[in-house]
This record gives sequence, C-alpha cells and structure tokens, in this order.
Amino acid sequence: MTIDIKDDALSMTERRNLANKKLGFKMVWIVIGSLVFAFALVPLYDVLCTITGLNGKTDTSASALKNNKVDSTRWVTVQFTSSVMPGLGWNFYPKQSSIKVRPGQVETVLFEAKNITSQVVAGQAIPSVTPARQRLT
Amino acid sequence: MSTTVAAHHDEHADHPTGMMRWLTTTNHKDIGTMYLTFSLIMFLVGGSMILGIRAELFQPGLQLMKPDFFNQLIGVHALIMIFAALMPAATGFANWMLPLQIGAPDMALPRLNNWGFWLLPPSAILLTLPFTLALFGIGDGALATGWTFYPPLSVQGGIGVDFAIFAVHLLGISSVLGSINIIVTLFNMRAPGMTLMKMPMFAWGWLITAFLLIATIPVLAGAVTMLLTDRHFGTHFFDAAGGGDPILFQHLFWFFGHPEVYILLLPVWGFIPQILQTFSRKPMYGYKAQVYSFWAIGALSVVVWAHHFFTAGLPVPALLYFMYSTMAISLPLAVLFFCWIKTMWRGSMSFETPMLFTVGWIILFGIGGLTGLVLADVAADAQYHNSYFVVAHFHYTLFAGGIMGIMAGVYYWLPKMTGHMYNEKLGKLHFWLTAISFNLTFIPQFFLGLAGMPRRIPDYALQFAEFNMISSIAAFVLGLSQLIFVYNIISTVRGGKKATDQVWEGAEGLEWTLPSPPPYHSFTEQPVVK
Repeated sequence: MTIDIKDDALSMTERRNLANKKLGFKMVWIVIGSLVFAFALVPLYDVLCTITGLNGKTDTSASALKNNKVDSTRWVTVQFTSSVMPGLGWNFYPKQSSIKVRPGQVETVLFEAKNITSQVVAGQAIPSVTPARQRLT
Repeated sequence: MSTTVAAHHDEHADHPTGMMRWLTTTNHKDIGTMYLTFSLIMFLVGGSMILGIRAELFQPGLQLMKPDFFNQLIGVHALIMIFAALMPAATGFANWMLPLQIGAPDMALPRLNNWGFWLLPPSAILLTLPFTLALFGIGDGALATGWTFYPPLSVQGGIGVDFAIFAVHLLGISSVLGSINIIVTLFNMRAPGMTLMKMPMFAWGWLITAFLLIATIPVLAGAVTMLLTDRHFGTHFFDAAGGGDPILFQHLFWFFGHPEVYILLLPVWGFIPQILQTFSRKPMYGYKAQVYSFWAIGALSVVVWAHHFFTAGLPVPALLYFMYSTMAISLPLAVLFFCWIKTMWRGSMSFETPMLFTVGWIILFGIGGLTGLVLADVAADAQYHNSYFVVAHFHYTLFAGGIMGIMAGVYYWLPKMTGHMYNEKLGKLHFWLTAISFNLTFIPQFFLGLAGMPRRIPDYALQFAEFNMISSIAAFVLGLSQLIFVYNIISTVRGGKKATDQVWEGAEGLEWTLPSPPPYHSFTEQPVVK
C-alpha cells in the first residue's frame, strides 16, 4: 500500500474541523454556565442581603430575639407614618402615631389598611429597613 | 472522498458575485470587511446623534428638542457606539488579521462567522427603528433610560425599551458567536511552531477579550431578560413593591458592564505594541510582561464592578474592597504603559499616520486612566458621580483609548487590505484635527463636572454656558473631521499608490509576508514559525 500524501492532508483538515467543532461546543457550555449564573445571582443576592442585613433586607423574626436585655434606664420614642401612592384606592395609616418603649423591649403596633374601591385588591408586606446600620437583627 | 473535497475546493474558488457573495460568504476577509464597513457606518450614525445633543447643549435652555428626545439620543448614541461601532470594528480586525497573523487559512468556524455578522444589521435596525415609528405616532420613541437600562425607569418606559432589549439580545448572540470562533481559531488553527507565547499581541488581546465576552455577555442577556419579564409578565426581579431590588439590576448590569470596558480596549492594546515596534524599528519591549498584564487585567476586571454605583448605598467594607481592587487595575496597566514607552525608547522612530495616532493614543488614554483613578476613590466619587467629569473620563478611555486606537489600526493595515497606500497628508490632517478637537471637546467637560454639572440633562445653569459652547463647537469639528477619514478610506479602496508586501519598513509578522492585498485564500499551505 502506498501512502497518498493528498489523502493524508485531507484527513488533517477533517480532523481539524472536528476538533474545531468540539472546542466550539465546549465554549457553548461556558456561555450556558454564565447564563445560569446570572439567574442564580437573584436568589444568591437575596440570601446575601438577608444574612448581612444589607439593602434593608431584615430577618423577619424580630420577636424571637434571644438575650434581649431591656434597658430600663432609657425611653425611646418611636413615631409612625404612612403614605399611599397616588391613584391607589387605599386608606393606610398607623393606629398609633407614636409609642414610648424601653430599648430591647418587644412591642406590637397596629396599622390599618382599608380598600375604598369596589374591587378586590391584594396587598403584600415587604419588610425593608434603612439605613442598614439600624437593621433589626 | 478526495473527489468530493476537491469539488468543494473548486466551489470556493469561484464564489458567487454581487450581493449573494456578501450574504453567503464564509471567507474571513469578506466577513472582516463587512464588519469594518458596518462599524464605520454606525460610527457616523452614533456620531450624528451626539452632534444633536451637543447642538442642544450649545446654549442653556431648551432650543432644539424635548427632554425626552434628548434622553433617547443619549442612550442610543451609547448603545450604537459600544455595540455597533467599537465592538464590530474590533471583531472586523480579528476576522481580517488573526488568520493572517497566526498563519491560518481561515477562521475555525466560518459558517458561524457569517451568522455572527448578519445578526448585526437587524439589531441596528431594532435600535433605531423606534425613532422612525414615533414619527408615525407608534410608541414614544427609543429607550430614554441611558444605555444602562436602570430600573425602575426602564420598567416603566415605552416600547423603545423592548426594542433595545431585543437589540441587545441579538448583539449579545453575535458577539458570543464571534468570540467562540476566535477562541477556537487561536487554539486550533495556529501555524506549526507558533506557540501561544509567540502569538502577536493583537491575538493575545483578543483571546482575553473573547473569554471575557462569553463569560459576561450572558449575564447582561439574563439581566435584560429579567427586565423584559418584569415589564410584561408580572415578575418582580427589580420592582421593590413586589419584593425585588433595583440595586440587583445594577449589580447584574455592571458585572457585565465593567469587563465590557476591557472588552473594548484589550484588542486595541494589542494593536499598539505592534504599531510601536514597526515605527520604532526595534522589537517590542516586555512581550511576556504585556501578556501577563493582559491576564491580570482580564481577571481583575470581573471583580470590580460595583465602583460604577458607589453612591447607591453599599456598606463600607464593600466600598473599601471595590475601591482598592479598582485601583489595583492601574498596576498591570502601568506595566503596559511602561512597555509601550520603552518600545519607543531610542528607537529610530518615524511618524506616519498610524504612529501619530498611536503616540497620541498613549497620552490621551493615559489621561483617561488617571481620571479613572480619581473616580475610583470612594470619597471623591461622591462629588464626581453622574457629573460631566465621568462623561469626559470615559470618552478619554473609549474615544481616545478605543476609537483612536482602531483608527491607528485602520491606517496601519489598510494598505495591506486594499493593496493601495492611503493619502498620507489627509491622514495626518485627520489625526491633528481629531486630536485637537477631541481635547477641546472633553477638557471643558472635566471642568464642568468638577463644577457640578450633571450628565444626561438637556438644560443647565448659566455658569456652565461658556464651557458648553466651547465643547459643542469642538464636537462639531471633531465630527466633521471624521469625513476626511471616510473619504481617505474610500479613495484608498478605489485606488492609489501601490503598496509593497511589507508596506512599512519595520513591519514584522506573518501578515506582512503575504502580497498586498492578500489573495482570497491565503496560507493554504501553513507557514512554519521558527
């Protein structure tokens, strides 16, 4: 059997084309990976903010505070306010304008929301605290 | 087997002519030419948009346009310049020059290459169509959020935002395809003997760029897709009222957006040392140092994104981290500057147009880099954020550092591509007009920013009037002098003094061993690099 140089050269090209396709598809996996990463960042960011208390995200279990020592030497006055976006058919206001508490003491306050339209409107409470240093942990 | 392949070769030799040649071509030189032509056209389109802006800012008060139209022009100008002018120009050079520089017969995935280009014109139409639609009363024009798409404005915006989102999707797919092609080409198609550490700097710049692109463009695609579902499908990724977070969008956007800066610049950093060594007639200084600096900058670029929104309310430890890591980028960049200057040091330099652009580029890009260091300082940034200082800074990096570098490349390789020498006198005139009017446009903007003029506002207080007038006049000179560039390119393509194979006395590299212009199929026999 004689060696055909031309044939050899062809298979070289073909082999290279195959290798090119293979590497190309490997790169597609990186692309898919970073697309998945982009969407994974949404819950990751949420978790990170909750853990660190950044961006006003808070631990919602404020009443489950451990070793909350009540400082009975001081009073703190907390005032409440509310606002409703123009066009939203709601009355929304705190039932008490301010309360006096001892630092560390757990208190319950009430807000009232009233739907003044004739339609059913769903509301959702999203806790958020600003500035971040004052967060409730 | 051999017969089919032989027939395949014949088919390549007599390619279709006319429009079909360009629609169906898989030839790297044809596709490179299309990329570069597209980029030049979009450069003029994006440029005329900003001349509209400068005309409005010529005097205080509202004279020419409504604020909403002003906002639309600003956002579309940026998107066009970044995605449709600068990026395609770099990809065009990659298509034209990478196979020639590494001794490959073509790009590795030629069909993908064709598709990558032909996604661009539709996306350019998507970006600009809302302007035309608004004339017929459909929608309220293009996106008016600036190129950054920040929610909540982008969630509330009109159909222009949707058009821009789809345009970004297409542009993203196009550049991801181009990048995959370049990575595969550089890894698999190098001539025997050309190791990675023997590749020209331009190839290295593009290799890092391509990896950055495929790692970050999908994040942008994801972010704008979330924006789209927020707008139309009731999700609340970025809507605080539904538990989302607009700051999350800024994180996602700039996770792409900061590497994007280096995506635009790394290919140009590849041009520079090659042009410098040609016109200094001595080998480039510190090849390895430059390659490692590219790597360092590529790696650092993906971990510094939050310096774009220092004022959005980040905690102090995060501010400090992003400040220091951003400033750390100046170290590898200083290595690059040192290597570029040392390449010229004691060389027998001559100042043809490409060299003029390159030396001017080094100075102006240096100013862009130093003002970036100022902005990276958290305390200083509180004053400069969203002011004209930022606008001036990123035009020093992207117009001087990006587009003027591309122009240096155009003058450097145009004789190789066309086989004709360009008009040297016009080239030099173009350089001096560009360099002077560019500085006169943007130096006043530094002062405006320091004095507190905010960006993206169509009107301004009276004390800013003089600087704005200077800036506007210079901007028109800058814009009009680009017509010299266009004329010079067209007349070089159509004829002119014959260029030699080596073109420049000191030019070294595989592309200069081929005839000017190179044949339609080059390096069918791979050269061996020693």
